[in-house]
Amino acid sequence: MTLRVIAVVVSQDKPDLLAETLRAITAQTRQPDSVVVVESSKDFAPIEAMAEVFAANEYRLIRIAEKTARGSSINSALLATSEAMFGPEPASPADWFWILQDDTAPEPTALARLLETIERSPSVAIAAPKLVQWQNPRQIIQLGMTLSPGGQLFAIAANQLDQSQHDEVEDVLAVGFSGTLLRVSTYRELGGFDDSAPSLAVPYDFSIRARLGGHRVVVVPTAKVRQALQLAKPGESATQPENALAVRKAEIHLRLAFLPALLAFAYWLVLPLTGVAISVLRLAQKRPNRIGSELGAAAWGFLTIGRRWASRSLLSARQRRGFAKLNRLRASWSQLRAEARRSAPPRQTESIAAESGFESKSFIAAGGAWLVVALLALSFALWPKLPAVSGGSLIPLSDDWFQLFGRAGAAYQALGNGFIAPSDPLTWLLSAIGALTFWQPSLAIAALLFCSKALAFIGFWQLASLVTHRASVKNLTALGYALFPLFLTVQLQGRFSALVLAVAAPWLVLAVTRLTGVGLQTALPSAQKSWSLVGLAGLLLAAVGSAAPNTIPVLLVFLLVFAVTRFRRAGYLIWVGMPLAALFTPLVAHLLTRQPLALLLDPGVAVAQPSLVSIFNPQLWILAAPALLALISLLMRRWGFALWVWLLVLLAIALAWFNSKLIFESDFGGQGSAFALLQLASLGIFVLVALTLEQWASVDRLVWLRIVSGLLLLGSTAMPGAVLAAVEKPDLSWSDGRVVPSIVAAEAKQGSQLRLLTIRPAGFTDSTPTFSAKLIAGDGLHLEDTSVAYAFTGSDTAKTNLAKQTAQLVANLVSGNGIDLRAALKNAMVGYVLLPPDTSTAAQELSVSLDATAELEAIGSTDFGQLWRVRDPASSATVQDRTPGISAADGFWSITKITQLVVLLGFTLLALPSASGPRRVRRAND
Amino acid sequence: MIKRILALLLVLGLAAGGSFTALNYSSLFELRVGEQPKPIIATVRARDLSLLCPGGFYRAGGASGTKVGTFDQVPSASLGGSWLGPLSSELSSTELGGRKLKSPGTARREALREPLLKPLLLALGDPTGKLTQGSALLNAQQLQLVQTGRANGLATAACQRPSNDIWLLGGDTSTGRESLLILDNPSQVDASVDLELFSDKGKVTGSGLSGISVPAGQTKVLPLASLAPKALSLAVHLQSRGGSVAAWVQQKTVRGLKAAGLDLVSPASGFRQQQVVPGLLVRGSKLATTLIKSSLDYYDLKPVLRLYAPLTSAERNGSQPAAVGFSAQVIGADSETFGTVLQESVTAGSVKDFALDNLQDGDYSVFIEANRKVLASVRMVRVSKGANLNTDFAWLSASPAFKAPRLLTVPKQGISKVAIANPSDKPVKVEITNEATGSLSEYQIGANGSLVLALNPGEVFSLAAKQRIHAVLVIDVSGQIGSIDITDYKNIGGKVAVPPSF
Repeated sequence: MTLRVIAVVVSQDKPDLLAETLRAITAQTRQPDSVVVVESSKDFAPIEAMAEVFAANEYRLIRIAEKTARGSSINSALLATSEAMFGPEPASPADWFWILQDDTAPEPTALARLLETIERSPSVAIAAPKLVQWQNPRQIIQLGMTLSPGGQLFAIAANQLDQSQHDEVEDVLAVGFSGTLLRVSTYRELGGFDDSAPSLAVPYDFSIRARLGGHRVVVVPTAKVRQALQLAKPGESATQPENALAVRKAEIHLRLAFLPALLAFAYWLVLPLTGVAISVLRLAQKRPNRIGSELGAAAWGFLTIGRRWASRSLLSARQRRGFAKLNRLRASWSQLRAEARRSAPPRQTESIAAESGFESKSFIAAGGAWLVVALLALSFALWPKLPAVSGGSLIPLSDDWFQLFGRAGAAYQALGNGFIAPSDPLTWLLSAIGALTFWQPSLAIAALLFCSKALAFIGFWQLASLVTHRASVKNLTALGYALFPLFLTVQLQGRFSALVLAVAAPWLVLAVTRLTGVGLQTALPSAQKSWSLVGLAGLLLAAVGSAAPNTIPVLLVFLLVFAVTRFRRAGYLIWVGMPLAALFTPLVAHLLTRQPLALLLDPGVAVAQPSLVSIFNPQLWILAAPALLALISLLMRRWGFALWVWLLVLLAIALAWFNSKLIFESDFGGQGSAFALLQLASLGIFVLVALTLEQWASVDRLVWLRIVSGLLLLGSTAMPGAVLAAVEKPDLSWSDGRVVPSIVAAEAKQGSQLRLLTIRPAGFTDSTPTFSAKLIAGDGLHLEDTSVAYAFTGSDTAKTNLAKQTAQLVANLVSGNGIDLRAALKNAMVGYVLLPPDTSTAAQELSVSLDATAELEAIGSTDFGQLWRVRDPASSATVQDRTPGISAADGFWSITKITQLVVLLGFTLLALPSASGPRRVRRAND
Repeated sequence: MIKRILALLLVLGLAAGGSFTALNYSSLFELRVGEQPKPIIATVRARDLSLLCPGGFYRAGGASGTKVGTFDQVPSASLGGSWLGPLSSELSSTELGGRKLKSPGTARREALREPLLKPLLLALGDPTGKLTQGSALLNAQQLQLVQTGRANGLATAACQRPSNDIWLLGGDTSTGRESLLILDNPSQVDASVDLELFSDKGKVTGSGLSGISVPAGQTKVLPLASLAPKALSLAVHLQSRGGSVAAWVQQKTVRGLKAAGLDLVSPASGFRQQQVVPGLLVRGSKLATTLIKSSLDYYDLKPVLRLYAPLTSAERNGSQPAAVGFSAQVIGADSETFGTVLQESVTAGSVKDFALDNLQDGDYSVFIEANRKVLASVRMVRVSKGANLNTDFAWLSASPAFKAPRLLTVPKQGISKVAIANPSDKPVKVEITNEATGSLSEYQIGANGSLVLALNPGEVFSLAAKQRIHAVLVIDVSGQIGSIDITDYKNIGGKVAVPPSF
């Protein structure tokens, strides 16, 4: 039977390429029997200009309405051609459409090769050529399409170099329509293309229906067609969000159209959840730019179910059951893995180092591990003898991680008589750190304190790669940073804010510089790696900011500098601030109209703050060497970078001075802390020192200078720091983590809502004896219970009736005058009264008064002071009557908390390394 | 290169400018964030002022002296003192054991004169709740000249306000010396008392020191020799749970078969780095020296300074106790009386006696400066040769500083002298007012000086100064000596400030 080929050239607004396509048709070794140009351009003039060419070649021209979707325009073209060529008469099995588009140009033998295959195999209804790039015919665009086992679109051999490695492929699940031979009768039998399907799903839909109708769909690798339009590559991750959306829509449509009815319905029901789940997966894969397309496609699929379901009517149920038999044509897992490996970007670190010709030693090879061991040994005085460390700004955490986590993002503070305000962002950091030793969260803090020198060393060592590859310089400057006396003071005095900054800041700076390509690693990271760095930097910024809020201005300036100087990466940098914003927004909103400067207060327990001068004075001679070396960096080659760093250092010092001049008139009291900002400044100084030493090292005749300055740095900073670390005793204590007497803690654990009232003499106020009192709920005041917002509410609190009643109760207890206090104690929900250890006369008198109070029963001395129990405390019924309003506010979850948690978890997923990481580049000598 | 130098100059300029501003103008800039919340002022009525007097001297072994564990009281101690009077307040006097004494009189200021056998609780009520408590409202002391075959000496004590944490720095359980710990519980609730004893060897360990029950309204007498035998130097710390107690150490000396003095040791006034012990009136020093040389049994005839240094929390947890250094200046009241100076140390957690050698007869005060808060007391001895050789001693507690008026009632018996010390480096003017006549006498005490004045027996005086002074009343009855602390007890009442940061 002689095959009759009707070439259908679908043209839309590309007259130049159309001419090429027509020339390629003319050059075919086997000419088509008819050529029909189906034109849907807006501007018809260029086509009219080609009328002579059409006439000379007896090309038929059909004009149809413009279509935006490629699939639709091809379908319309075929319909129009079919109508024009055959009318209502049935088409012969020998009639074939050869579908070409105005951006395709078949090789001279393409049609002949296609027809050879068809003649050999009469069951073939659709035969597609090997699509190659117009400019580079050796690059394959497509050689058939299939689905992955999970239903994702997958283009076989897409974007591979044509080395005939796939020339044995024949039967495929689906083919595109560029250069494809399609039997006309099959086209008519199947009712044409499904117009309700998304454009990327149309070829799949038609091919699968053809297969299920008993026809074969094949590719003919020897028939090549060049194509100029870069199609979206189905089955491969698209780089543009709109392509990703098209791919997802196609996948969803195919599932809804071809799954058994029950399964399809169930799939539709969970589609929104599936969209959310896959969005989370995209975060983990460091593809957050795909989240929009995932959610959009899921919403589209859910809301257009009518049209998806209508597509099912194109197949009978019996035919649909045969879909499972097509699984043999799906891509295998090994094919998918091979494709993923092939398309992963190369890892850049080694390649850069290899290109620079400098072999950078690893941390272990550089002796870093030994130095870490030495630093841990120097920190022996901070070994956690017991799980919980107290002193400085540290008190124990709750021993129940869930209770600790409950404080994070809370809207109610169980302090005093209860207070509605956002909790400190620090609670999130404490929850994260406490999770490391969830069975005893305080142990993680104690361990962090012990390991902080070592961790700071490791962090700075990695950061130093910003300016140097030399292990000696990294070791020396990292030691200087870790052993700097300021940091030692921070450790020994338990200044948690500065401690967290010292450990986390090097990693934060490293993440941001890697993200923006600053430093010796000049190549920009891949998209995946960039998002991973965004996640890491975002979390670290949130950690540092929540521990030391007064450093946020400097850190924001730091980000701004990078955003301006590395403008191309500004889009990533904007996201870095998101976790910090999520954590701080509630507190900022609360304090903005009250005490905005309170945001600069270090969270946690108040600790005495020395003035800036008294911090610097003992250490001036230690500062000299690093400062001098840092200044010299301004005279060297990378002076511009050095200048920026110096300006940030000076800004940090200026803000440190400003903070030290703040006097917080609050429950915490005292001056603002300068330690965190000074620690940040020291980070900058040591980066500059590393820069100076590196630049000296790179000049042979200055090696002696490097050696001398290295010894100077060692002798003036690292060694004194080591000696001080070994000799100085910490101003800290270790305990089992209890903050209230055991009996009180035990009752709290059993669910008692009675409170502990602590009273202590507080001298005189205008000659009036003063006694401070605290109402402590549960098992005591832990580090996560402290609240900056609450600290500044004293004046407001004093005006409330509840406060006045509490003050009167305290005064009556202090006087021990024998009046009936039962009602007052019940009203205040006091179960215990504690007098902390105090050898003053006033404390002794207070003790006598409490002993004389009939409503109290003396329990005796505890680790926390003398304890009395209320003989007839409020009952559970009374407690419940009193607390419904409070209980309503004191819920575990809140909108704020959920939002913050979602943001933090999202960034954590971003930051975690994913399986599809960058591939290792093989070096030339491997 | 120019750009690099400019960059360096920019950085140096900014650093220098910032440093200059910070160093020179720092004091001008101070930003207060928030406002210190004003404390809530609550008004409360003070608890009734209660003082407990120990009653008669305790005799171990009963009348025969052989009944082990039996302690009876020898009649009678004389109660002295004054209170504000029934026009403004109500006084109830109740012996432990329940007997109420006669109703008070009707004067504006009523004197207290009662023979005492049992411990007596004086409770002064203030129905209006407006009276200012203190020695002007109620002051009381007792005095007893004990002259039995087994005890001889003057026992004096200020009646004390019950407490639940008491330090007593006195006592001796060596051969011939008896020290009894007297615990009186005037409350309605049983008290459980825990003891800590410290000697020159450190903390005394052993059983029977904790959970000592003192039933409500009763007295417990404990011989310290059973808890810390043969201890030359003792410090007693007691803490009670439940009811508050009053406590004294009754110390007695017997040399051979001869009773050789006794005293009631009152509670210490508190730990301080600077302690002042006024009232060291040395008499019969030459005779004492002769006796000391004649026999070792007279070792305690010399005045001593007793010091106790507490342990820090680290030392309690196992650190090596430090040697607490101090200097003690024994300064005479006049230019002809030369004292002495000590520079010594005492191991933390222990008690040590330091002999105050070579003090001639005269009036002295002892000024102590230590590098840690300590307790201090001085044993004053009296040797007189009348018909028989007579010795007695009295423990002088370190006196707390005061300048506001304090009332003291001078005992009717014997010769009473008030010793006043000024530890400051400026002279101080002291005012002594006779409450009965209203006459005011002013005296000047030089820097680091002291003054000893005889007061009329049986009269009430008010003692005040423009600066802080330390004072004690020393009584001599027929060569037997005792001391009475000039106390000013007050319970918290009136306005109390409570910061609102709960």
